[in-house]
Amino acid sequence: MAATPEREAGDPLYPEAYYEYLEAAFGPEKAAWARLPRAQRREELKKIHELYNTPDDLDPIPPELGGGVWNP
Amino acid sequence: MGRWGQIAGQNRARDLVGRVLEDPFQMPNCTILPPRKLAGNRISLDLLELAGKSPEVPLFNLPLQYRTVSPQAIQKSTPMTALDFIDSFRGRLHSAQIDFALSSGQACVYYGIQQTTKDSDWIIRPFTEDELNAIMPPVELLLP
Repeated sequence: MAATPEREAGDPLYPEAYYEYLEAAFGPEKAAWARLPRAQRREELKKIHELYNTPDDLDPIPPELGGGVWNP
Repeated sequence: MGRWGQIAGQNRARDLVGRVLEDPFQMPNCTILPPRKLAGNRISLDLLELAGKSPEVPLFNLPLQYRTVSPQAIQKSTPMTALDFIDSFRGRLHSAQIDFALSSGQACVYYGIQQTTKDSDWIIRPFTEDELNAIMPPVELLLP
């Protein structure tokens, strides 16, 4: 397993109850993601954003303007 | 209330956007960032709400302002990821001393909850409209 990068200033670990709530609500993968240092999440998010469209990207009208592929 | 204010009050938001696209008419107090052409003839719009002499007044009952960016300007702009755009825009707001809040999906991204959202929702005090307008033109050229 790769070593976890050091956390930067202003990137705290939140109380354990926060991650326990995420795990209960969204599952262990989401909770593990939230535990990652922000800089590492950011690097992985860049790849995700470059490679994949989100559901919102697929609709010409964004959800905040009444659109969205899940809000036809 | 002007023509657009009347139209805005009678239509759903997505219908209003269609009308704005057909007729880029000047509407003060609210800025709609330009439609951006995406792959496959898709169009994206960013709506930045600046309306509100009174926060109790619904946004779409207020007059709006339409902004455009030329296709040449979009072609010249540097590709930028959604996260880079947030950093850039946040820096400009800080420099202009404009109070703001980043809300919705990107706030969830910040706290490690959301992964896929790319758009960002910004909350800015209505009375800082002039300061915001002053920094908008260069930002438009940096849209991802």
